[in-house]
Amino acid sequence: MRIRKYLRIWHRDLGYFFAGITIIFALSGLAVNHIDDWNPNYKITHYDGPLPARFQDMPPLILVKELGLADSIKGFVKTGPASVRIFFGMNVLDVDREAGVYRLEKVEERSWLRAFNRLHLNELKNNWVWFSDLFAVVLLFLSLSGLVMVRGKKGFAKRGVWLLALGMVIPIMFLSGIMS
Amino acid sequence: MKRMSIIFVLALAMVVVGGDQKKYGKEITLKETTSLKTIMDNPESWLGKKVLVQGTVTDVCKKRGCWMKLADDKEGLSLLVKVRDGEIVFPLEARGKKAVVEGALEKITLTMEETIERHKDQCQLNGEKFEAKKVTRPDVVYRLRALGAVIQ
Repeated sequence: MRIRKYLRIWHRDLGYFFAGITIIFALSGLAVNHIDDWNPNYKITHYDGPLPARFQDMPPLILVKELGLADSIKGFVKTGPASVRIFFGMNVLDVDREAGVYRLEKVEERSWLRAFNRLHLNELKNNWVWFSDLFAVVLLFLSLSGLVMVRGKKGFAKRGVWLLALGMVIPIMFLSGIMS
Repeated sequence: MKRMSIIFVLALAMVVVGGDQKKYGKEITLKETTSLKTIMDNPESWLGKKVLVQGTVTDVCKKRGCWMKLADDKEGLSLLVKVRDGEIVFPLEARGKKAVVEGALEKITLTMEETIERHKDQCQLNGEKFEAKKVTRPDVVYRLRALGAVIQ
């Protein structure tokens, strides 16, 4: 049929056009699905230790200078009577002069994944939301056109309908609590 | 090979240009800021009212960017700024930067279980021994439900 020919052409070309964003969303989906187990945007490492005695009574600005952070410091805030939080780059240094301890939080960005997540989670807002909507509509089209593109024994009417039903049973089982 | 290079360069460009936005959420409408001290001196009178606050971002939700802590540089006070997940996402790079946030103050009464967990965490942070019998009533927390923010 003529319509099938056009569906095939559109399915193919839209598939090419949106393949990149599909891969990005798939990778981000995998990363974000497991957000309870890891941080998909940053690698965060903590280093704790005792504060050397010579730093303990030092005012924050001098302390920062002594630690060699003067050039990269973004700022600092007092977090308690004897504690200060120093910001440099994406990292944070907490110094508690009364307890005589420090904690360095070192942050490394997972650049690729973070960019993918920002796209997938619609952080960019504005026109990106429209493009995402278009992508969603195209995915719908790809699914529906994919169902009717193949004819014969392996087409939707024979094999396809059973596989479609099976694929829909799984979410229904999760929703009904049969699978958890 | 040439075609693959084009795809790689395009993908790389996407990462590089994915810089941080400075404005988050809705446009700020208020002109005058209210100090954290003014709010925290009498939080009940500010409940539900729209306010504009400013301060240094001292911490950000590391996984979802769904909250940040704003500290007053002069008084050492801090206020939790909360957003609905996904509505606004604060980047971790905001830490140490100045921010102005518009939103409404809200009051959250924690359950006893949440209060105990909160006190346990605080004791752990301060290196103190936690005593459950000292927790006799649920904590009340004031936080700002953010509508819009600008991070400098």
